[in-house]
Amino acid sequence: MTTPQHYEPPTPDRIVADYVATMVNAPAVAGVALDPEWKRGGPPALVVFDDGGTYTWPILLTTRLRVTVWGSDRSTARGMASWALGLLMAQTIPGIAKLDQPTTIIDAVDSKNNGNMASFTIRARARIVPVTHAPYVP
Amino acid sequence: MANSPRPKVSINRKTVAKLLMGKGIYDAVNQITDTIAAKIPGEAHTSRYSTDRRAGSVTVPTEDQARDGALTRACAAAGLEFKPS
Repeated sequence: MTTPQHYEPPTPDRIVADYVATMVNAPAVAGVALDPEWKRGGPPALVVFDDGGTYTWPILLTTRLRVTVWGSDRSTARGMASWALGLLMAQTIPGIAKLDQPTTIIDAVDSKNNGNMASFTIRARARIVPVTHAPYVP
Repeated sequence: MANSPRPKVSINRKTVAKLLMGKGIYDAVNQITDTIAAKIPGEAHTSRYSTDRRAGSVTVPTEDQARDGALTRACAAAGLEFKPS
């Protein structure tokens, strides 16, 4: 008997964060988690989160990504969030089928680190990919 | 058939309006808003209102949404697609 074809869901938050990171100049950063050492006064940090969605197995992953920028003031955070929204809506990112349906940017102050946050969400659709069946290696 | 008379369909808008304001829609809307609110770990506020039909809303502090995605995660956990309108 042959082994059935295995499929794996992609990780759109990681793909988008890595793509945005290539377009960000130091000292600003982009990633999938906020540095716990991040402090108000430091360079802005853009973080891409996956807030969850649905599968059309084994074809498509539809999920909502949240992009939040932590900055030292409102205009820095909002400015980088606007830039990121424009970038994501304009580009085709390898590994992501489509980014659309963005929300408007909201802002708030993070009571944990006093940083100014600017945040929006965007729908991501990505293909589920066939993989070779193999044991899991930690 | 080419010669058969076209069926006529007319929507009874008064009855549809009554249904949209009725207990069935009211209960369904409340159940959805309560399900979402129950999945939010922090502060959440629900309200019930009517336009031309029964409606409901769930509100979270912007800080919880920006930092933790409180509302978007709760929607996904409730099996609902989050759609900006």
